Amino acid sequence: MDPTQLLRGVLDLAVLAVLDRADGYGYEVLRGLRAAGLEEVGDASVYGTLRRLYNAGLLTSYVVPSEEGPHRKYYSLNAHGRDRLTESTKAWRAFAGTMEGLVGG
Amino acid sequence: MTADVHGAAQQEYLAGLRAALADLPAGEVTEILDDVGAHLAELDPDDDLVARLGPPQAYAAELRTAAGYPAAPTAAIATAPAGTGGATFALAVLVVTPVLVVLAGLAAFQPEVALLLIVLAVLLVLVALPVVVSAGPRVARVAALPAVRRFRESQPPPGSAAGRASAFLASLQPAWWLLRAVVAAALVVGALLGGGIVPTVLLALVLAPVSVWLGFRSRTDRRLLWPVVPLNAFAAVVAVAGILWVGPSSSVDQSGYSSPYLPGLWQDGERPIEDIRPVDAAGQPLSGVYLFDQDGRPIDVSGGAECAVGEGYSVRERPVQPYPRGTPRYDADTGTCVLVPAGPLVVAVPTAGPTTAPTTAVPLTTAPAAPTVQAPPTG
Repeated sequence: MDPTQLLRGVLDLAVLAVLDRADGYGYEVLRGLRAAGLEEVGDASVYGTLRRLYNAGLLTSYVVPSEEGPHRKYYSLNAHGRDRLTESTKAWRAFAGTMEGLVGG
Repeated sequence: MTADVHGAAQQEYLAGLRAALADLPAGEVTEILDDVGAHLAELDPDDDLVARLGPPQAYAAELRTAAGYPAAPTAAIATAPAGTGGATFALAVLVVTPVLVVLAGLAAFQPEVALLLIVLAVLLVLVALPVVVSAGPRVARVAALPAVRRFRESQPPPGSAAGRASAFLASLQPAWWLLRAVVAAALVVGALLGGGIVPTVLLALVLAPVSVWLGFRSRTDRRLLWPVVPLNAFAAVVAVAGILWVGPSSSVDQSGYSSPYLPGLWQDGERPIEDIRPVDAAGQPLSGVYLFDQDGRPIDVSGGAECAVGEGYSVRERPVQPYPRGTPRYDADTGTCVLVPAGPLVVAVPTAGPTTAPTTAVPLTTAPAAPTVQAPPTG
C-alpha cells in the first residue's frame, strides 16, 4: 500500500506529536518527521497541515528573528492542540490495535 | 522581508507560489510564504528548486489540499496547459538542435545539406527563444515537464559508481570550456585570416574567460542552454573533425620533412611533370621516343600511379612506353581513369647560338655509349 495514502490521514497527528516534543518552525517540523522515519511526507503537505492546525486554533505561533536568514515563525501546541493530540493518539492506538489484530494474526 | 536573503531562483519560486495562491486571503499567503521562504533559505542556493520541490503550481496544489484551502480557481489551472505546450516545444528544440548540428557535421561532404541543417537548427532556436526567455532563469515550466523530472530522477545516486563517474565527468567541464574557446578561435581565425597558430592562440586567450564565464552563468541561468548546447555540439563536431583531418595530414607533413618522397617526376619539387613532349630541333613533335636516365633505366613520369584520386594512388606495374604518353585523368562520371592523349603542341625552340654549342657537344660525346647498352623496350 502506498505510504503516502496512509500518511495523509495521520499527518495531523504526526505534526502534533513532533510539536509536542519541542516548538519548531516549518522546516524543523519537516525534518523532525523525516528523522522519525516518515520519509515520504511532502514539504507542501507539512506546511499546509501546519496552516490548517493553526487556523483550527490548535497551534500558536511566534516569530524569532534570525541574523543570517529570514526570521523564523515557530509553532507550538496550545491547550487545544494538546487535547487534540491526546484524543488523536487514543484513536490512533485503537485503530492501530484493530489493524494489527486484523493483519498481524 | 524575506526577499533580500534569497537568490534569484528562490525569489522566482516564491513568486510562482504567490501567484498560484493569489486567490487566498493576503494574510494567509504571507504566512505561508514566510514558512516556505525560511525553508528555501536553508537550501543550497545552487539547488534546482523545481527538481527538489516540484513546480510552484504543484507545490501550491499540495499545500492547498493539506491546509484545507479551496482548490485553485479554474482560470489558474487553464493557463497551465498553455504553458506546457510552449515548454514542451522548447524542450524538443533543446533536444533536436544538437542532433541537427551533429547530422550537419556528418553531412559535411555535402555542404548544401549541412548548411540547410544548420539553418534549420538556428531557426528552431530562434522560434523557441521567446518561450525560453519568458520562462525565467530556471525555466521552471520546462524543468517541471514530466520528461525532465523523470530524467533528473533517473540520475545515478552520488555514492554509487555511476554517480562517481558522472561527478568525475562533470568535473571535466572547465576543460571543455577551454577547448571550445580554442575551437571558436580556430574557426574565427580560419574564416578571417585563413588560419595561423599565433592568432588562434591569441584569440583563444581572449575567448577562454568568456567561455568559462558562460559555463558558470549557464549553471544558474538555464535559459543559456538553448544557444549554448547547439553551439557546444557544433564545437564538438568541429573538434572531432579537426582531430580526424588535421591529425593525419599534419603527420604526413612531418613525414614529408624527414623523407621527401613524392611519386612521379617533379620540377623543383613543385610542379608535377605528367608527360614529356619531345620535339626535334625545328620544333616538330616527335613520337615514339623512349627516355632513359644516365644509367640506362627507363624514365617513368607517372610515379607508378595510374591515377591520383584524392590521397590514394592505384599503383601498378606499367610497361615502359614511348613518349608522349598522354596524361591520366580521373573521370568523375565513370569513376575510372582515362588517358588523355597528347594534344597539339607549339613550342619555341631556342635558336642554336655559340653559347649552346658546348652544351650540346657534351651529350654528343657520351651519346654513343648509351644506345649500345640499351635496347628499346618492346612493351
